Amino acid sequence: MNNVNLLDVSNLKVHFPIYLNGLFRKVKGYVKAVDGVSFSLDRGQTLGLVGESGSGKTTIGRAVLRALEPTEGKISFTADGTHVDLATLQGKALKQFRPNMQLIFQDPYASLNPRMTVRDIISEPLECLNSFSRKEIDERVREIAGMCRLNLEHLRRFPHAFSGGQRQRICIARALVSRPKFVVCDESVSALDVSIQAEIINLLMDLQQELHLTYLFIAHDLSVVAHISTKVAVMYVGQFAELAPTERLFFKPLHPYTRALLSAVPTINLETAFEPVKLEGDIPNPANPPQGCRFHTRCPYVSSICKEEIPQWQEWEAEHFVACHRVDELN
Amino acid sequence: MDPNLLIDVQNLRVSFRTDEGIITPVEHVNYRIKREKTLGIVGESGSGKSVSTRALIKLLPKNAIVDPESKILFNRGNGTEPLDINLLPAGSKEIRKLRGGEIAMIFQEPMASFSPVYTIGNQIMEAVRTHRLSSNSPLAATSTVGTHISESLKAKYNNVSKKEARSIAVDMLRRVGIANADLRVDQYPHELSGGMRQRAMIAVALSTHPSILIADEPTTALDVTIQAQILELMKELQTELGMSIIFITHDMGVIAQVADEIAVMYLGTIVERGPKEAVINDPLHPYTKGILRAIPKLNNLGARLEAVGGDIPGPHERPTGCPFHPRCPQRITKTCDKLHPERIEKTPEHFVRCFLHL
Amino acid sequence: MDKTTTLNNDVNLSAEEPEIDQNNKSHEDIKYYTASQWQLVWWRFRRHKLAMVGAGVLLIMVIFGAFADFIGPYSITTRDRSYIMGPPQMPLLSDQKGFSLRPFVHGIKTSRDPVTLRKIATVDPETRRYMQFFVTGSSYKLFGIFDMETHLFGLEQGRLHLFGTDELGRDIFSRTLHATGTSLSIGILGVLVAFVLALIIGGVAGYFGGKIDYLIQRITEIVRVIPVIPLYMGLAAAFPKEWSNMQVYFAMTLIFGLIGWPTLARRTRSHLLGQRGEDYVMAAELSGASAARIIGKHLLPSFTSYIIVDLVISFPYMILSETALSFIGLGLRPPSVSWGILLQDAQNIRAIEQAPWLFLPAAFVVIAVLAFTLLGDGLRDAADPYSVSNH
Repeated sequence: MNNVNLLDVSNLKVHFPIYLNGLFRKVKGYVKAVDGVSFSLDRGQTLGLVGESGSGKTTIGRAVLRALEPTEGKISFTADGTHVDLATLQGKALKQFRPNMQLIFQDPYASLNPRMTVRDIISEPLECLNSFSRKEIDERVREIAGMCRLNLEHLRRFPHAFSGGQRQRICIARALVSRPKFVVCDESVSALDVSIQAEIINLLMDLQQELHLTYLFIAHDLSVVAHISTKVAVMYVGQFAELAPTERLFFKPLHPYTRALLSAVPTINLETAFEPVKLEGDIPNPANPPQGCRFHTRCPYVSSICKEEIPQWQEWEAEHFVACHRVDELN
Repeated sequence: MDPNLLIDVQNLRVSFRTDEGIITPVEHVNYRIKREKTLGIVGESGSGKSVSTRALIKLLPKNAIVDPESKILFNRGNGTEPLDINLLPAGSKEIRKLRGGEIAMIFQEPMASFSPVYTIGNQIMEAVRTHRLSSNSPLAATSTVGTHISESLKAKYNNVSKKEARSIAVDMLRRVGIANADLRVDQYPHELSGGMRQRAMIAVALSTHPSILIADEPTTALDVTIQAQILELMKELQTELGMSIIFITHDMGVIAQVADEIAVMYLGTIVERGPKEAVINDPLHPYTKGILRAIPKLNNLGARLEAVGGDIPGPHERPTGCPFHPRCPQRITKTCDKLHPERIEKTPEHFVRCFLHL
Repeated sequence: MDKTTTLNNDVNLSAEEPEIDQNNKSHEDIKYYTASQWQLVWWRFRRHKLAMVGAGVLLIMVIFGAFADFIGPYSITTRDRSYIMGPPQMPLLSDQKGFSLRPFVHGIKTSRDPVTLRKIATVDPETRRYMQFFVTGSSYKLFGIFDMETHLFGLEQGRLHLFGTDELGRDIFSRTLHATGTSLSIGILGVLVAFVLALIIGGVAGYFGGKIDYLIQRITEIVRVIPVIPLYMGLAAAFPKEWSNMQVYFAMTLIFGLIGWPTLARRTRSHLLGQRGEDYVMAAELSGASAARIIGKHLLPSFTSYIIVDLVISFPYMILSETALSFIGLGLRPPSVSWGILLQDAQNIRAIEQAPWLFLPAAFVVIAVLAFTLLGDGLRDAADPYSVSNH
């Protein structure tokens, strides 16, 4: 089972048109939420995706799941020995492919329909497939609910009976009931309190082992991402700045932005001084990204080439990708 | 009162009248704020961390009841008697003078505390002109809350001129690190980015030179790089202006970096309070130990996290006895579930409420 | 299942504790946890005293309207020649002669005014006319189906006029009950027509969005700005004179519906737009749910409670429109009765001076409108039962 490629994304772009108000809705410009991103993911791995708000993390997740139409690029997904290009899959074929991939949302309150019982919520993905009997559905709902530490009594209740952590377990059960191979966790633990968060992270990791899941784990909390991911990608304004195996990224970062990001995380470790790298200014607007390297407006090591040319996405070391003009000088 | 203390909260208890009956989100809360120091209050949702600080300036909803036995002592300095804020009627002149004058507050969502129809400059100028005496006023030096200056005398002197207020506003914006402050002063809040807005809010709060700043999750909505900027800015301004800060957050990492003293809240009670190093490196309460262990750390990547079991109870299902006992791995049956633990000073200045430390 | 249990043990050392807590939860809690949306709405609504009063009053009015033939002692055209423009009679339990267990009214003597020679009815305190229940009176068809002669109450001898009589001697109480039925049903039908239109138009705008939405929005605005009274007048004047009252009645409901939809359509659209962006709708989409399933199972249930509130709140406008239109003589015409038609009789100074009881139907209009408003308020607060449960 090891090193079986599951997902191969190349040059993914998602641009959202900005419309002028009016009947004819003239396109005024584009928000380049994701602008040329490539990565591949093996079965059983977790790719962590970090970046600041507006960097396009969520958009990548939604595009891969085809909750959004990608503007350009390939998303090839290998399931049960067959390849599909998700980017071009349409209509019925797409609908039939859906059970292979699922999404776990950030907000456990908004993502559960308050008017349905927990059983109905969890069983929905199976009901939509029209290929299971009531008994089979019941069995599978009970099985997955048990794995997510929900008992039978819980299944009769409505979401308003549950706390945030329990709700997130319901969301996880719903996402996994159709036995997907690939799950996008979009800030799935960010809204939870620390004491609850750890439990959900553990649950996600256990389920990954048990059900051989592949995760795309999106979060802004770097320590959580570090904990759960096999490799981590750092995003900045719609593009990847760096992509590397977790340990390498956290202990030997190459890109100046990665370094700044890591240094800015306050930790409970009082022995090492908290000295965040100072980044000037604000995150650029993805509707109007800077020329050249997108990070040049805030980079402490900016040079003239950074302002003009877009840096190459290069494999600096095995498995360690980075997009920076000055990576050789700086390391 | 110890001249080093600025605020001493004793036995604070706040209840709310709701449709489902009376709930008490804050009980048995004691804390002190030293001059020019930062008290970090850390707690999860529903722990009452915001309510317990809002009581300081009586900024609570109408259905709130603060126990009259509670004491919120504010040290006015100069050897005068401390002022018990709890005795001041809500909406009174003294309270309004404290609020925004001596005690300033910043929030998680800056947009909510700005009026969208006035420029940033206007809002700073308003704060300055209501609370600050003109720098050339003979009363400027002596002005503290509660010192009674005759109204006519005040009317004569305390009006900062518009021009003076504007220059103070520009200066404040410059000090919180906003570039082109003289242009930004005429902009509206929505024209600024998230980080800028947070800076502008700090500028408004600090424009009256408060002696204490209550920061309620000021960086939670911000990205880490921006958060780092804001934390550093707050530290700089603290030393520059010599004020105390109450920093409320749910993020242990942030608290570890900004606080001098940490108070850990759980379900409306401070379960542990002490100097930062003591609380983080040598926690006493099982809850503090639990959350410190539950935080993912870089030195054990991929390992299982040690979770605190159970769920945080809702406001209507407070456990009896020690609030943490249903989740506590070390609970003592028939003690922890029956009695509320008293506060124990384990080592100097390091308090804990737990039967394990009797 | 053994897979599950091993996992449980791993996940949490003290996992049993919260489970035990769950089991110890009182019956009350379990009831709350398994309560559906409508139960929660009802529990919250029950706490609204005023809204409950409003609902009760409306229920009584609907019953009055539906059973007008039975509750009202006389038909709308029965004339009491001996009691023209007579004031309301109050059933009594005692008079100078003593106490009686059966309610009664005093008899009536008719005399002529010596100056104007008009007939005047005067109360004769000597005679008692006792009230009876379930008396046989004029025949009628209940709901147009059942032949009946029984009325709820009446007098042994003579006639009882609780609200007095008009200048033709017709019983205002009976007429008001019938009018209540007519006016409420016009309101209900009007709201239903408006609602169906609103759901379709607002639904299309909200679900498809884009250019269709833009176009529909503009049309809605145009309809909204048409001044209502002149339009009513124009349309009502266009009704052919030979139309039966039934035809006029349906034409009126149609007009009210056609004019009432824009507000409701806007609300439907905004509810739809708001709910479409919710995470749980996206979760359903990602589960492969069809558009029909998403609309039927997720979107519609999410805002039916709000739509009901909107409907209730728009009722009074319909009723007031009907009343206004009939009052100025452009809606229903006598011999039909509606609140507006009854108030037409109270249009002149003479009525105010000599027979203020002709205004009693107006009290019904005021009470109905107030009751709808109170009910709407209560429903609005109860409509989102999840707003407080998210602790």
